[in-house]
Amino acid sequence: MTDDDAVRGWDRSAFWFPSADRKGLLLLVTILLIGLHFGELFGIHTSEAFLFGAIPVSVAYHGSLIVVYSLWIYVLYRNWPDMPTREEELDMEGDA
Amino acid sequence: MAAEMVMAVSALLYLLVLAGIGIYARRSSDKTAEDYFMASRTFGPLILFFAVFGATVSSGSMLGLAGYAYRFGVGSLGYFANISPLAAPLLFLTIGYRFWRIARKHGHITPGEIINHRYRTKHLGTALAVILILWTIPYLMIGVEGAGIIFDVLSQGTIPRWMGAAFVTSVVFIYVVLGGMRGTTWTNVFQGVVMLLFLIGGALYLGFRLGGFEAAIQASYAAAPDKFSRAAQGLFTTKEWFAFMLANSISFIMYPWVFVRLLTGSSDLSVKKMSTMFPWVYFLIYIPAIFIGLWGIAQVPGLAAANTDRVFPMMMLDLAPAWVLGVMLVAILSAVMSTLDAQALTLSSFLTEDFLGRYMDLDERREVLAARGFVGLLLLVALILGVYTPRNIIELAVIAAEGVGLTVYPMVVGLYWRRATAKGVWAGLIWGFVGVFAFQFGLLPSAWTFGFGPFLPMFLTQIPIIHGVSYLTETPDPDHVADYFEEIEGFW
Repeated sequence: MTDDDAVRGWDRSAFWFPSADRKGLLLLVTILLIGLHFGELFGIHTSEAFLFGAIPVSVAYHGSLIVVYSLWIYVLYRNWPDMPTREEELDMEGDA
Repeated sequence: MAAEMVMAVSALLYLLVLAGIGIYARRSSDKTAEDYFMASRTFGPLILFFAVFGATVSSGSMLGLAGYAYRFGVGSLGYFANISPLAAPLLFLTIGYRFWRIARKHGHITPGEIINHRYRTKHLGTALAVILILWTIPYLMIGVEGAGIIFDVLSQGTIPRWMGAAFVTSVVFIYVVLGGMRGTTWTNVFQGVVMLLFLIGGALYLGFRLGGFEAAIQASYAAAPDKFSRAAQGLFTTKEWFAFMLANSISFIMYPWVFVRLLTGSSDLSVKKMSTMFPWVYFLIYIPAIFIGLWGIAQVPGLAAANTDRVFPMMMLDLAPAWVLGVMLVAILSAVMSTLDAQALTLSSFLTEDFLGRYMDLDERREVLAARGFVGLLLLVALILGVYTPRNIIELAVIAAEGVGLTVYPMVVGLYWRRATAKGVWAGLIWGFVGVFAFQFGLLPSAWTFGFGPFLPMFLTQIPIIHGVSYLTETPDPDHVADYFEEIEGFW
């Protein structure tokens, strides 16, 4: 890497940069899930209905979204790139 | 009288437990700054989870959310939870993990040290510390205000707000001084369990006491149907919904007490596993709190403004036996103190590492002594401001979230963009701070936010300023940047 390259541009291995592989799909789904926060897309913001007579629809919707987000985080966790353990890193530093 | 006795005994026992944990933690510590502020980075995933959980769930969650739901209705859940159950752990897994690696390798304790190292500066970290300390003060006030409210309401005025608040901040001071990070985190485990059990149990109890969940909510709907439609509440326009979503979800990782706790993870697995556990906090805490507030519309009519934060304890006072009130007192104190202690300890680490360690030549013993003195000073300032503030808990949280949120991009840009320079980050940091401060305190007209509130326009203008000034200023040292990115490249 030249000196110019060292101070140029973005780290494209990061999660925030879409690419053709699985990371791009994960980022896309994450963005779509963020869009679901806007309940007005489905008329949630004007609804005065109740689920089972006890749960306002707005509360049910956003409560369900919390569950969906929590499950999605688990999916992201499972897809996180493998990385060396601390012991492996220390071994590599020792070899260097 | 019996109720007051039960509450007094409950509070005393609880505080004795905390003091005992603080003393035990002191005996277990290495008496170094690294151990006092970071517990030598030894926390596994479960302890790390409770460290972050306890630091996050405050009287804002236990009292403020219920009060907000009481005042503004069903839109409160979506507004405050927003995308945080997704964003907070995602930021832990991405940005947070990169910070964790850097901090572990170089022994950093504070965000100021991290940013100084990235840009090879001396004063940038100090400026960041000052800004974060200033925006943490509203959060300290939240804790103080919550403590005052719970004693005032449950004692029916016998213990005035200032006295309850002073008592709690004194106890926090003692066990923070004694136990440091190890003590506060061990107490957070205890407090976190208490908070969770009480909030969920309290909501279930109230629901049944009010004749069932359907009867409770329908009574409130009959009393105030306009609170059961988000559109009927002028506060939750799509613009404000979007702007607060952005400010609240982005700022979370830069709350100093969250950030520093993230760095105490013992391994990458600790950070990852904690991240997957964390979003469930929103489900377990927010949903009971929102229901309690909504039920309170019918049960405790007539509360307004800052007094809406009293709705939960007032309902319990009306409906619960004395022993439940004792448990409630302990639970609210847990919420208040778990966050107050985290904030106080974190800010004292900023004083030590970003001020004293940088500009004065003090030995470690004097640094720790100065840190303890600063904890006392901060808590005193928060006590005075918190007792007399006219704002309610959630209003204070919103102000602080916006201010902290504008430190995120200056802090994070250097993790992903090699060309970032110190001057670029300086420009963005100052721009964000001055701008949101000016809007919040009426020095700039709110019309200039175009209905989005201060955070969004300042955030969007901050980004091109950082990049523009970076390009206009000298290129950073390529060897340093290459070494820096070698540690974090390839990770999300």
